[in-house]
Amino acid sequence: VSGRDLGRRELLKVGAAAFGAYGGVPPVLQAFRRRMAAGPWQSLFFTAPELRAMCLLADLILPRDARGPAATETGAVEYADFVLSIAADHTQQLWHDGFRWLDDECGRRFGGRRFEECADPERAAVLDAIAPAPAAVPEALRPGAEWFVWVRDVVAAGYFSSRPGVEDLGYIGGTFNPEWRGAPPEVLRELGVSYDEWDRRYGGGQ
Amino acid sequence: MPWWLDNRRLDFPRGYHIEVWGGFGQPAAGVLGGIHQYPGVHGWGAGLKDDYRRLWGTTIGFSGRGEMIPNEGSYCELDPEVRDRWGIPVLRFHWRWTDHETRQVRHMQQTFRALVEAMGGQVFAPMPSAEQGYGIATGGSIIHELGGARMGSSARDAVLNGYCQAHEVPNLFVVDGAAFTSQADKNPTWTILALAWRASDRIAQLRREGAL
Repeated sequence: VSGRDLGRRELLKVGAAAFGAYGGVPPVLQAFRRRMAAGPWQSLFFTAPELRAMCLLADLILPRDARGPAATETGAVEYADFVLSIAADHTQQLWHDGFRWLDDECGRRFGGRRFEECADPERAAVLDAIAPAPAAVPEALRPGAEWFVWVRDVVAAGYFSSRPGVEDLGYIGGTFNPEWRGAPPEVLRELGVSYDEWDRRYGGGQ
Repeated sequence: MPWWLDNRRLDFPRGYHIEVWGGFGQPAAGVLGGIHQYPGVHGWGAGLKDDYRRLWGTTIGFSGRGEMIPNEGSYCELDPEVRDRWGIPVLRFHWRWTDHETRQVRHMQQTFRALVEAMGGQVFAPMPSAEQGYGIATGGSIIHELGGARMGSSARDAVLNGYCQAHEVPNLFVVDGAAFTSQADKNPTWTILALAWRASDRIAQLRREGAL
């Protein structure tokens, strides 16, 4: 595990802890949604060629299938663009370097063509090479594999925090249930408890 | 999970509590981040998408929050050389873990791993080595802010007496967390409240006696 991996994992843990403590929609997602609602979308971080490559990558990572749309249909790329636009300088540099690394690797393998110029089987071959855990790939491919961890993570975060992604996972929290009337009477009987005491103390009634 | 063991059968004093995380939380930024570390996942594509669905909610993690026994190697002091931009000496911190803490953390690691295995789970992270302090966090990274004006019976090594009253300034009472001489693994608010209550009773009593 590289130092950078550890740092990022710690960061995710901190994020998860803060989120767990306060609930609701995390600030970065709120800010992203505000921006998306503000008007026509325009890239804040990705250059035009990076944006094209990112769209290809996103839909290769999470393609449309029977249970859900492709990543680009859920705003995952716009989400990545927003998150990276507010990321630290070294993180931004790492991403620009990553796209460059990908194009160089494609060029080396496929007669000078960039990722977006490659055929589907060629793109698949490159992803197969860099998608395993970085420690499991040859040294020469490791920079690409380390960057791809970030790409996969941010695409997944964008996809699964979108409405279709949440529905895909089947997450049902955060939903108001107006039918809730407390625990079923047979369960209360079994436990030998009732809501009477609560009602006496706190007013009860609905 | 509060502390549950008897120190007479352990190789460290005091104890720790366990904080547990995991479950089917709201998917948001960071959901299943680092999925490449999970066993048997696909790197990309339809198989990966199914891996996310399969693995979401299936992880559990543990954090140990232990009590550190204060030691004389851990303290802060005014730096004899470094000053801030207003010319005021900055604080200089000294920190030392002892065998008490590293043994406690080793016990945490062994316990958490045993819990995962007892539940039929698979442990991801390798056991940190003794050289890595068994994964102990950097001193000061997980704390409640306590201490700084320690309570003690003697003005020689304490600022406050047992009533949170300054030894050297009788009409000064410090009723926040500064009086703590150590930090239990518990959250400190109720203890702060209890100490403040005790100090308040003392203030009222001394006032009645005309001693303040």
